[in-house]
Amino acid sequence: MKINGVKIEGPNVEIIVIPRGGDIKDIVFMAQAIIDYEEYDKKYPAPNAPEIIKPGGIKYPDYKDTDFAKQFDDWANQKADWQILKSLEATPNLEWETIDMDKPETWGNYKDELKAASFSAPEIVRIENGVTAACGLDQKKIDEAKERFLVGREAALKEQSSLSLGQKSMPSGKPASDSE
Amino acid sequence: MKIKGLLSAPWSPAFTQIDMKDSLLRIKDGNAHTLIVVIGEGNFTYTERVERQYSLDRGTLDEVRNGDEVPVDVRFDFTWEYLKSPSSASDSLGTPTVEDALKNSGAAADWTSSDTVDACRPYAVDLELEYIPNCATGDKEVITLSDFRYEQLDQDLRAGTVAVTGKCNITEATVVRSAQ
Repeated sequence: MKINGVKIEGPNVEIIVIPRGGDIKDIVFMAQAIIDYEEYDKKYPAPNAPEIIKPGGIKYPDYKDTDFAKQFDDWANQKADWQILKSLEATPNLEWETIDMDKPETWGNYKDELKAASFSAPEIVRIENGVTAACGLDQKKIDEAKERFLVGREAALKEQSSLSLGQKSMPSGKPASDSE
Repeated sequence: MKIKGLLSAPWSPAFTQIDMKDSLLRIKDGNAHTLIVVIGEGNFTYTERVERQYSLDRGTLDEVRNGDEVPVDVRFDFTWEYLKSPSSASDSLGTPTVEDALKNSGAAADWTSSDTVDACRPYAVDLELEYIPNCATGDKEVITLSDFRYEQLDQDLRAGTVAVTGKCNITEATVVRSAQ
């Protein structure tokens, strides 16, 4: 795919720098956009709500079922953990000690590992926000990008209109045309 | 409405002791299938009987022994508000009706008998009536009637009414009261 003749390729990557003082080097995480969630959804499909039958045979899913609500919460939390780990895989040489990507119950350990590595709570939030931004889910960033696009388009339109106004006639007095 | 098995005296009070609207009936198979029947109006009764054999000593009452065991008689007759099967979320057959669950047919065709002692015995289910009083200070009560086999079944899906009589292959129900 191309836009304005430029080939679009490569997922978005956010660089998250956690500053450190003294002799310790700043810590850099790289969060990469997850292009396809199919891998996850195939392996761990979302739970379905149990079906209710009303007199007369009317059937509908019971989204208020407490067991279903808990299952769905667990599934969503698990998916969020997976998204963070998958996205941070773009960080060179990042190794988790207690996480096995084949064992979903270990995915939530990333927070404990970050804490154990002396990352403060706001720093952990920054890393998580970086993943959210990389995956295109940060509304503030989306709004900023839209603003940039609109400002750029307005400037381009102004430039275009000033050009067309200035070229109504040639220095010779003849009307300007495409052929000249 | 009342649950006959809970009454110590054979007389019927003019007031209702248990509001069946606060009850739900679980029909369970021998595996993990459950049909939850949320009861609207109606009644659920069961009768425990014990045969006693009295022998006389020259015309005077003397010895007493237990006679043959008698199965528990069960009758329920109610309108249901809705039916729900927690396993219907993952079961392609969907939510069974009360009739399906009692007959091992339709959406309950994959149910297994609750009576696992002898595979040649007719199909049975466990009935579990849960009563949660409207008032928070009242105890929750769960009455379990194991290995129920229906003998007469009247069902009206359109009206949501069910009338069933049958027997359980037990001599007495299990009643558990606990704080809500």
